[in-house]
Amino acid sequence: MLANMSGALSELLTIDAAIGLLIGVVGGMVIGALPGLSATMGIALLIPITYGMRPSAAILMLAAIYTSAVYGGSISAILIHTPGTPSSAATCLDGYPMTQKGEAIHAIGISTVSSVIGGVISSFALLLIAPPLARLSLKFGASEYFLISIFGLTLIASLAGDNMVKGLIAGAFGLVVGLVGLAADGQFRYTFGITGLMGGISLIPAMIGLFSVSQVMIQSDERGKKKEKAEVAEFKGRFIPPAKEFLGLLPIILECSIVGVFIGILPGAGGDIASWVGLNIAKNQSKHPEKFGTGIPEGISAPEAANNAVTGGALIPLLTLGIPGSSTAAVLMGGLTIHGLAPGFELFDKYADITYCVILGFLMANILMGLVGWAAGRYLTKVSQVPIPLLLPCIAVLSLLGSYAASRNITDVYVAVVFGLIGYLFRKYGIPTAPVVLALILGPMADKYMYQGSIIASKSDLSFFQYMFTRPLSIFFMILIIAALFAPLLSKAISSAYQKKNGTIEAAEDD
Amino acid sequence: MHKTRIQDLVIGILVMALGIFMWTYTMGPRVSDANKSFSRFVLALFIGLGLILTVISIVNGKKPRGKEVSIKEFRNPMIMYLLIIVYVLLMTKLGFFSASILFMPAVMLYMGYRKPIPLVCVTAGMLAFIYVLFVVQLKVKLPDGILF
Repeated sequence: MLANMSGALSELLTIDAAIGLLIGVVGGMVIGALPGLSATMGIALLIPITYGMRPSAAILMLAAIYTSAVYGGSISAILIHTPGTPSSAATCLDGYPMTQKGEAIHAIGISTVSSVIGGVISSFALLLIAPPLARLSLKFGASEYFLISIFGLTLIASLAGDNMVKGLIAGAFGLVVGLVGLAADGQFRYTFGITGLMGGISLIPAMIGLFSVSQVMIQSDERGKKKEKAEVAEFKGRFIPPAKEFLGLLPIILECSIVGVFIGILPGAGGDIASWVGLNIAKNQSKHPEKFGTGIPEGISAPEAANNAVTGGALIPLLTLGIPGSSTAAVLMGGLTIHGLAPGFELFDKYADITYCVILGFLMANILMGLVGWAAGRYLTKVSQVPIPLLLPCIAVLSLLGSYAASRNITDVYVAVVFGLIGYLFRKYGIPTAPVVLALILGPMADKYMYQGSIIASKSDLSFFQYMFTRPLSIFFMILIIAALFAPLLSKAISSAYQKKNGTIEAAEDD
Repeated sequence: MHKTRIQDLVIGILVMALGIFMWTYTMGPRVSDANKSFSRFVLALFIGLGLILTVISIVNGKKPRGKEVSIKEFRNPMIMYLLIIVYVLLMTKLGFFSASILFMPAVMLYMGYRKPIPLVCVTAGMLAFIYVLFVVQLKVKLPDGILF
């Protein structure tokens, strides 16, 4: 690992990487602070900007957006009682009361310090856990990769939201869309003679349509509605918490960060669950649990450390096994794919310079996030008050431009427009859009490995199914799949139990 | 039957119809076995889930589930969608920048924004940003039509 560090550092010290890091951190914070714009949408929207960048700088920028958006969400949660992302919903409970008491800057300071510590700990976890896990993937064959893609597809159940059947339909729809184009055996299917469909439905325009174009349509419903201007408190006081207060908060920040990393590694459980779990840990360990919700620092530090720790944790299964555990991670995986990077051992071997550059850069992004938050956090509240009529055409133009820039093909713009309508109708009728993306990535992967596995199995006169049972690692993944099918029930029960205990706050869609 | 259940029923039927329509393509003589088996596996799943949603909607017909959607709610989003379609068509005829100069203020005005200075500044600023980033830096050749 140390041998790869010098190469990674030289990648990290390029102008491209520095620009990517800065754009990622600032852009992520702005996106996170804007209620209605999620990290998922932000990454989908900004992927096109990365086309001309070096892969290391591009992936670094996307990872920086992820962690900064989670932090940015806490700023609007604290200042205007509107969580920018679901991960910040728990922060509202004590953040906004602190603002009402005239301690807004103090609250943002605590959120910043906690988020930075959570993010830094998760970066170290990524650095230490990912490489050995990736080495394990060397033992995988076609049947294991097929089962991994099926395992990834089981996550659809955890992304399904309230209505499991509709979530599964969304996933199956993604698989159906993934059928279009060139099949694993070289045959064209469902192209209906249209040349533009022969390469399949492009992932990026489809994602942009599902998340961004549909969001423009949803936000257009605000037309004519007078938006009440949220009261923003005066910015007085000290940003960095005093040493005594910081040392008092440190144990809970560290504990919640470690818990956050593990929640991030678990497929399907994201920042929203981590922040509620973090808040509950702080409450249980406090000598004054009754003070939670009245505006105390512990109520901010615990959820903020936990939700930022999730980001590095979520990158571990993504980079090593190619399992995107959340919609944000699925979009990030799309970013890896368009830069020709496939998750697995190769990332830590052939492309080690790029991967370690991203990991080290991710560590720096978390520190830079704190510095930018310190310098500009108070002004971000202005961003959250940008009028929607000015914002919508910018998002629409960037969305369509991004779809076009992917392959410089106007067909991709049509794809984004069609998927925009599909995404809008899905969201309107309570069908989640994240499973479509997940299935669109994993469906063709399952198809390919099933085909390869069948050829290998036929050489031993076995069916693909029989062949899988001859491989111990495949059996392990089968057990994992069965366990994953029950995980959403457990995670839903935990999340609703915590929310019931601590109260609920409505937040923007998607993480 | 409750309106929300009727919505689900329609979704279930549409899912099944799309699945069956696509299934017919797997019956062609030229479709290979490997291609057929994966496609049919996916489509069977899709049709099966559509069937489950249909059955649930009928069985629990009287219990409301989810949010009721009225046709009125589609007005603004559909007009916005129409504007986007016109924008894409103009993009291919007039070129990206010309179409954007028309589209951006049109959306702002439709959304009820009437302050001329921010309207012009945001349009000009956005297009200048796109020009510098995509055309100058990334060397992306944007759609050009009879104008620019």
